[in-house]
Amino acid sequence: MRPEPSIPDSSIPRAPAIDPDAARGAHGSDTVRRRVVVTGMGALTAAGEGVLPFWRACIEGRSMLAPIEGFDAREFGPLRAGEFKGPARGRGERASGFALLAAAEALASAGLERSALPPASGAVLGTCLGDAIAPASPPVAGGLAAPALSLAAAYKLSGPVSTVSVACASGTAAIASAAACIGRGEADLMLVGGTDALSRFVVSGFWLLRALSPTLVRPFDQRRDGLALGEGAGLLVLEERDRALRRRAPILAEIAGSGTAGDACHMTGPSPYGDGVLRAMTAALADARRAPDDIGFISAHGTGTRFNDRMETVAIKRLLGPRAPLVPIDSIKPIIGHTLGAAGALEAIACVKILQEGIIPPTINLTAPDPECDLDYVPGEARRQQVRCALSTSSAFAGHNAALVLEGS
Amino acid sequence: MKVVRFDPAPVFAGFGVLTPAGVGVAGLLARRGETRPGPGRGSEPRRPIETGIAVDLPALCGQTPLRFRRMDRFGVLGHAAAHLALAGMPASSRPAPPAADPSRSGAAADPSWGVMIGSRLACVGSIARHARDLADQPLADLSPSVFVRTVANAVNGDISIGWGLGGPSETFVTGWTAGAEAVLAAAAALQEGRARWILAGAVEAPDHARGVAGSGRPRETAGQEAAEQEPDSILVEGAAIAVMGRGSGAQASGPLRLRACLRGHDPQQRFSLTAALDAIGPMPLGTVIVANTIRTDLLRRIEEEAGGRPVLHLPRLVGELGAAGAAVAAALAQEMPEGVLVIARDPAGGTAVLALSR
Repeated sequence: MRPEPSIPDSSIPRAPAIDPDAARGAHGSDTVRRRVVVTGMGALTAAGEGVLPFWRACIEGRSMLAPIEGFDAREFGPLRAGEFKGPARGRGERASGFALLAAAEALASAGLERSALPPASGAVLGTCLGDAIAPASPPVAGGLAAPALSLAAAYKLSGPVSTVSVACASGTAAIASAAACIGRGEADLMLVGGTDALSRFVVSGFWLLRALSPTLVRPFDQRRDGLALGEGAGLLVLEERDRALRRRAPILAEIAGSGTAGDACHMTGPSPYGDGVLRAMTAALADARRAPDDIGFISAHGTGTRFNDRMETVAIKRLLGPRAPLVPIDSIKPIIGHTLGAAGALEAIACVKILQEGIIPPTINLTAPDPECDLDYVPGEARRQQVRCALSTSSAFAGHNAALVLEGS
Repeated sequence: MKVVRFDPAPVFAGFGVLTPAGVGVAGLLARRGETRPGPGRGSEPRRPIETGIAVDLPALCGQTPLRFRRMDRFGVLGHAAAHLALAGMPASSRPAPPAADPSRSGAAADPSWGVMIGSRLACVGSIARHARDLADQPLADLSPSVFVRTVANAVNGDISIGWGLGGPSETFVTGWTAGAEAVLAAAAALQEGRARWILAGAVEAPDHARGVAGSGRPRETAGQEAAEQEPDSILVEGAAIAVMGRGSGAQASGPLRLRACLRGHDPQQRFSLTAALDAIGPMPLGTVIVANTIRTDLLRRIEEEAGGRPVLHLPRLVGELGAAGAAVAAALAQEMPEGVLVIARDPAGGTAVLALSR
């Protein structure tokens, strides 16, 4: 890890000029794109099986992190993680099993049965490792793509079936990819999201990078000392809007725009000025034909590491300007852990619930704010606040950043 | 499968290709008409299988090996292919060198350049190495730098850091169609105006994936194991990255264009060339390139439906290039006067078609 640089405000580069009129031109393209809506959701997290227990844990600010039971983790010292401890149902290896369970819930909530899927249905899953890591056997070459292929087999999908793997931004990037797929007419319905399973392999890597908190995960807090890992899956059913309206599907939200961008500076450390995530957020807003002033809530990557939280704060300030302190921001990672490839998808599900219910989950464990993280992170308790337009961001190793703009139906 | 057409069609402004047949596509083209690679079967003579790229890659990039000390083979191949692709462009169109960003903060990264890479094996070699180290060594002795290479998007990071590319970035690990998917995603991003140039293609490094189950790689007992497999399905090293672009600058620098794409999941092997051509619409089709190993009956059906047009089966020239096959096939199309249809297929059922013409 790089030494932590000091960033006086005066040295932060000037915010890029974001012209709302230019942004409404969607990258300057006149391409006509179909609108994409969310009609179903499924989740599997440390809070249990289902969106409901996940959402309840979020709005109650109830951390599901606990000592690891799935394998002997004593060598890593005092650690907590967000393990799924429900019944081990589902086919195949764990990441595939998680995805299948979440997909079943997502399709059921969309009012869809297997036989009712349109011919051009596909899937995009984001994952860091998929089922490449299997206990007591060598890594599996096709394991990265195994969860998406499990969905394809289970639901006899004949549209595009894809796996996106951009480390911790995989879930967000998968949603961006699937929405683009429907938008350009390649598919009418996509099962999309992310899945990853906890393992000694993953914990060892983050432990070696000294990224794990031995205490509490405290995003944006002065005492923050690292992240806690988690596992699970988040799946969404995305449909072309007109098709969803025709079949009277429950329209939960709209995927209005997306963007990805590279930091182009370091394999494990983010740009200290948040340039990459700022480019991703700006691209997502332009794609959604929205201006920064339209954003009413930001779901931060919010890992609880010193670098990430400060970098995100700088990027959000550069994006929103004087309005930055007025926009609520949260991190649900102290509640379910950092679920890697699933994180962006679960955070998108949380955004949809926020848009639907007008309740913003708190960033828990934030009691001593870092002077360099001086925005509104909704500390302590959930807040009732209507939101029409939400921005969700993810950042990852290799300098990858992804952002989504979601709007209420 | 639903067709996606690109209008204006993005162009290929340069290719960086590395295969066991050498640098570029000349070695591949010279092999047309030669015997197939692989162990002999019956009376059919076969050439020996070359699975690796016997090129000094740091020297090819004008670098010392020290420059690549933290990369695995997957990263080195990707970096070298990107270097070759950019070297073919006019200097005035290339991205600004990272020296323009001495703080290494990414602030000077060029948002008009993106990176989209596909791979089936991707980082599994480094995953295997970290798993092996974890089993064999005390935890405190392990190197975090190996774990950093276990993310599939490490090559995107290498390339974006190396050339200061701050635009859209995606990594697909879908299987053998991941290279075609990267090209499609790049074309869509260019059409939507998300970037002006994108480095798009695929990298497969089976050599670094030794000990990985299902890598399609002959291990220590190469001869015996290879003889038990379909010879063309032995995965060989390959990397092909294209500079794809839009706009007037791009139009001036590269004549080959991506006209349309088709994608779908087809485990029942119902793929029909006739149906694909009907969906794509009129195009000056000269050659069909089958980029990956497919079942013999499907290959025969494609040859019949091609109606006398030449069908080039890429694995017969060089072995199975995995996700890199489609990108290498696009580079071959650059050398052909008429339009080319590239068919990429994964054993799990993934199918992608790229329609390319001038």
